[in-house]
Amino acid sequence: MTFCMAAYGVSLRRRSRTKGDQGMAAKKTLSVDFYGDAKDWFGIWIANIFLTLVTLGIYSAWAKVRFKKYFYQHTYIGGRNFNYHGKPVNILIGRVIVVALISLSYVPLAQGWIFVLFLLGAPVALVMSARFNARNSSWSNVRFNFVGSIGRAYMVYLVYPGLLIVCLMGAAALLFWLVIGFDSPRLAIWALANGPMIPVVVGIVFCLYLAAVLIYVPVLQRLSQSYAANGHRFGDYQFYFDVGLGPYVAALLTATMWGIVGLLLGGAAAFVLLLPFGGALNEASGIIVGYAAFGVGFVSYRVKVRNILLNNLVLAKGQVVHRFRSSAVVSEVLVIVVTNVLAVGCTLGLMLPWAMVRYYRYMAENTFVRVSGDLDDFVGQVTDYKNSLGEAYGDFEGLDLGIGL
Amino acid sequence: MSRDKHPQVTAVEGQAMQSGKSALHEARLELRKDGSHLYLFDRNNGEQLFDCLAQRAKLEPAMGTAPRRVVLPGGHLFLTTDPGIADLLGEQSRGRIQSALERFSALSFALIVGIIVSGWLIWRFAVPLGVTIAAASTPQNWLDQIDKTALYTLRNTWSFESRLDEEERRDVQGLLETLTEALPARHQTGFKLHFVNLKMVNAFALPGGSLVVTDGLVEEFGSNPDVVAGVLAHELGHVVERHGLKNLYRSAATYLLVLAVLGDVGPVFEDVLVNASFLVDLAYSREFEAAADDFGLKLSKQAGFDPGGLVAFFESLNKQIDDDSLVPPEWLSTHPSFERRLQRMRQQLD
Repeated sequence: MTFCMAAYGVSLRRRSRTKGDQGMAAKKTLSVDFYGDAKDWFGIWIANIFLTLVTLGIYSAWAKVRFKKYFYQHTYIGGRNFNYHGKPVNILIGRVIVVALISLSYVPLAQGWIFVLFLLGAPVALVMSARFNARNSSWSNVRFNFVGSIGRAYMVYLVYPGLLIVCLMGAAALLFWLVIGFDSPRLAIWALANGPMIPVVVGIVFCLYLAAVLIYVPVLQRLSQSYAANGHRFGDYQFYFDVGLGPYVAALLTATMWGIVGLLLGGAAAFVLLLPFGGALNEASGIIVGYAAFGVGFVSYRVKVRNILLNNLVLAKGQVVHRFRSSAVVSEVLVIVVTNVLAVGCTLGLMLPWAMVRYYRYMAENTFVRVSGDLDDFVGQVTDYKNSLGEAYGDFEGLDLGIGL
Repeated sequence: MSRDKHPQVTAVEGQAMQSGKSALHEARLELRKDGSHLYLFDRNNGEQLFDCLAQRAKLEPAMGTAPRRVVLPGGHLFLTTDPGIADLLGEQSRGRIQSALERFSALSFALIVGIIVSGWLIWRFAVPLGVTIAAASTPQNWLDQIDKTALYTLRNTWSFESRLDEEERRDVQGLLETLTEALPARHQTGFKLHFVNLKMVNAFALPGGSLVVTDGLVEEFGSNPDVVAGVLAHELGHVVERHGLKNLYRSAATYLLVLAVLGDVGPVFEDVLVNASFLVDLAYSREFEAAADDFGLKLSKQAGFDPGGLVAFFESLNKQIDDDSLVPPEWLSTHPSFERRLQRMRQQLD
């Protein structure tokens, strides 16, 4: 009897100590693991396309859920996977609404109003979309949530961009006036068209454009990323994100540099590829060079922005703070993307599932969570967010907060 | 869940999370002997975590190699890699059919063939049918509005008021009337002629029935009524057969279908596909041009003109393009090449 008691006590103490260790002191870095397989995903993907075609597009909502579920459920952190809970019917209704609105914009008499509606409705739709996606995503049976306010969304996605454009244009006009010194815009236009000032004017306009992009893009990227990240919750934990403007400017400059590299490589590729055809495919060479420059620049920008997000993101409740880290490297991602595009192109799209899995796996492998505490500690609300109209049908294709993940 | 026979499996091991909690339990899901109840146990301490009626457990469809998910009432979750779960919960045939369809196997290759066949059927039959219905049911006042907007843009940005005199305009108007009289009765009205001061030798039709003729065309061919009538007849073909509208609907339909089929392929591939659908649109547009050429030849002949006028028109245009580097290749163009159109029309006339 005594022995039994003692043994029980010991085991109890040991249990509670392990529990305590995990709760307070344990700090470990977990990798994100992706166990998806190109062959498995190919089977689902090809069934998705077939059923979507046969149902004239209606199955696409179900296909989207299959896609999301496949990638979420094969992504693990600490041995537990994610899941996507979106209901196909709700996604279908969201799509029907979007298609109806777009069709309305073709009705000649409604055109002007639809444009205003789109502009004013966009921030609301963005927030609804973010809510839908967050609330329908879970890890280890705990759901994410998005609580960013609509008012703030208007500021971030409508008011600030508008103000920034007005300010930049005002500054440009002022500079123009100071440098050229004409009394009226008409004369400035005349100078642009006829005068000996053309190189000067073009130079000024180009510099202004560059400066505007260098200010506009980082400022807005930072605003939207910060709004999106800080609005997310996981169970009773909150995401925090704060970073200065510097990394964004650096990201844009890096992307520009890579864009120039892409331009040169694309030019070389176009030259080699089109040499046998002579001048007959001039348009095609232009397209290749354009895609190479823009595509390479875009991919590298995405990688940089993703790294900024994850390296400054924190998931916390009280004293418990989990951190994230991204180790994605632009050159490695570019190698993957370029070979993916070539493989998909050469197989008329059949290698697309393989390419998707390969890209996704690289991104997962280069994402880490530095856990301080216990993975068993998250508690979420058990709410099924399907009753409110806005929350059920909020999945609007192509709308995202620009979180850049 | 209904079941026909008693399951062979009575318990499955896996992991469980309680409603809304990330805490992970090594767990076992047991079915009572009579199949009515499910019990969820913690394998480490033997505690019962949850129990419910067996029919209230929901087994989600299989997803690759990920653990099967059983959602229990209230949001409790049981995860297992044991395939016995399908038997334990009596998975319904729908779930099994879906798994069979999605498994990578010989069937996947049959599906590729299925995609090609159904894609072709849609492209050849479903889209044209839908487009024809939509074009036929579009109200005339929408079309008038499209014309109005297009003409406004044309007059205010591209060109100035035509410099043709009254007599020249009246001649073209007369040709148009002769042509429309040869049309079926329901198509005879609703056409309006507009002249614009553009140097290029051209004419075009807007969906609402506005025919736009450039000064260039009248200056070049005004002395030859067969040519002008042939060109007008071609443009009338576009209006009567609602080509402009059909083009609009068709490109919208192909675009939507491309988005639906490949909604989540990422920015680069989506671009490629959208551009591909643009090329398909161009192919349709060239088909419409050929159809309008046929229409034009027939109509000008019926109205008593020499159908060779349209041929002469393209011969003259063809002669003017010496430097072929300025002309895009046919697959990148809205119109078939002049050679092809001429060849086709000469065949028709023979």
